Amino acid sequence: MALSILPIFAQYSVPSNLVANFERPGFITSAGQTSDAAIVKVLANTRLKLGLDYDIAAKPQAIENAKTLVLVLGVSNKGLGAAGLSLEQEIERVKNIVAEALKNNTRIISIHTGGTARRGEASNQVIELCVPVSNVVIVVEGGNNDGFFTSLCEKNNVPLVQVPSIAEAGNVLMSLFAAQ
Amino acid sequence: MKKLFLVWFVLIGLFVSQAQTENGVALVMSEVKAGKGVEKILSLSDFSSQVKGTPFDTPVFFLGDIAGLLTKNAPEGFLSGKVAERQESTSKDYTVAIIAGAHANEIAGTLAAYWIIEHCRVSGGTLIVVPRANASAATWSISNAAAPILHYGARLSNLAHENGPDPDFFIPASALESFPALSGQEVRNLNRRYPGDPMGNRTSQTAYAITQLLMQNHVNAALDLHEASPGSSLAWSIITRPEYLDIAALAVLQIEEETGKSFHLESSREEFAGYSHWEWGKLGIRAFLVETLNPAQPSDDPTVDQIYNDKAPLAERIYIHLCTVKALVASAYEELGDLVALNIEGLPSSKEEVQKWLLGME
Repeated sequence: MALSILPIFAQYSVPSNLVANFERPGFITSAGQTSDAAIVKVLANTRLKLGLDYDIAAKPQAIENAKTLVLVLGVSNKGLGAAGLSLEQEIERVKNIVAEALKNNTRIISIHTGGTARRGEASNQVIELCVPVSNVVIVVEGGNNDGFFTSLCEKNNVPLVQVPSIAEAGNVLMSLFAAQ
Repeated sequence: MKKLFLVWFVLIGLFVSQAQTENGVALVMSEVKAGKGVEKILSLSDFSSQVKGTPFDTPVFFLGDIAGLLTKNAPEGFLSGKVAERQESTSKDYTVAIIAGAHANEIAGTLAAYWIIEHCRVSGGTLIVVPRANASAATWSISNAAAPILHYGARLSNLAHENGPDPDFFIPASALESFPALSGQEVRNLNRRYPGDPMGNRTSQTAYAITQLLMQNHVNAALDLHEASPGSSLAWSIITRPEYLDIAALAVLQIEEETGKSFHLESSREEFAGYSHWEWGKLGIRAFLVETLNPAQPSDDPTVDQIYNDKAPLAERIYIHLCTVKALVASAYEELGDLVALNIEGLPSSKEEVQKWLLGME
């Protein structure tokens, strides 16, 4: 995670030391109950055939065997309601799942695809929780219009790959995983 | 071009303002001309008679292979020569419904439906289009906002057309006990009245007729086209029940590839009682609520230039609605598996093509 230079890969090139650097089994969950997690799941598994496990509201034990955890960032009040969770309960769940990942040396990829709609105060809380513990952050550019991800990644020495579209976020995700 | 448009707009505005507003069917038929792909036109009252002859009755357009669809009530002359007799619909039919105009101030959805009616041909299944689900709402406006081709209406039914006054508060019929009461005027919000009640107010009767339309024609997938204000988190989103999120997610990817617009998804829940997608979904219909962004909402600001708006021009919103129709029809079909693919010809290839149509320059 510690890099001497913290480039923002505006042309969505991926740092060479991260290419094929993440292993499977991988697990996708949300951090904030955004349904964008379903988009990332379909992108990763239906389109790119990465074969990652998925549970939008996964508990820590679900990721015990994962070598890579993909966190889809963004708070959705509707998603919280559908899962029967308050924001505080969801933040606790995310803290627990991150702690499980760190305990098992599971590497973390954080993805934000929801643009400005997933950048309110609650979403920012979740982002501030997940970005510092991530090995790489992928953000679709609309979600970083204010440079929030840029400054947070710089501060925490986390590489940031900014892409123009959700499809390109998928291409970055594909490049991160080692071939099986 | 702007000058030409203004002249055209004034003429069209005069024309539509003279349309008979006491009959919903007449109002809608004054705004749209059925193209060659339309096989038959029924009225919503053919599916539930309570709205017959009221400002809530509205045309229902059928495109594609309609032999298996309900035709018993088709008015004389409304059936094309291809339709000989009614046959029972079978599970092999792939039938999609496009419902627009539930909120008549969310104009891009209705115009997208009008595009389909005027330009498209369908094969491999049936497309049912209701461009003005709440025709009564098209007869009044809270701010005299205007748009080309159609009446810029209101979010709610016209109170003058209802069969009673608004209550003090309103709770959708299928809501849980914990559901917070809505403002009484929401009793005239079509998208809070599904699945509808034949004994309810006119808006609820309309919702009931639409639900009957979907059920009697064995609709597999239904799209409800809406718009949201710039400040709403719903702008540029698809909302659906949890079981249909994957279908919507696939569509989001296709929409982005075609238009460059990244939609987000919202998962609905019990608090969406009375909403189209929630209630239709209970009936096994793959139901999706689609929201583009209308810069004039929520006040229906009449000073907003819909055509040349720099954030969300009308042609772009219509184009994106139509791309969403194509994407959701395709991804819902993928999930359904063994049915014949529904092919829609005549969708626009660019927003510029839609702009020419809006300006009468095709």
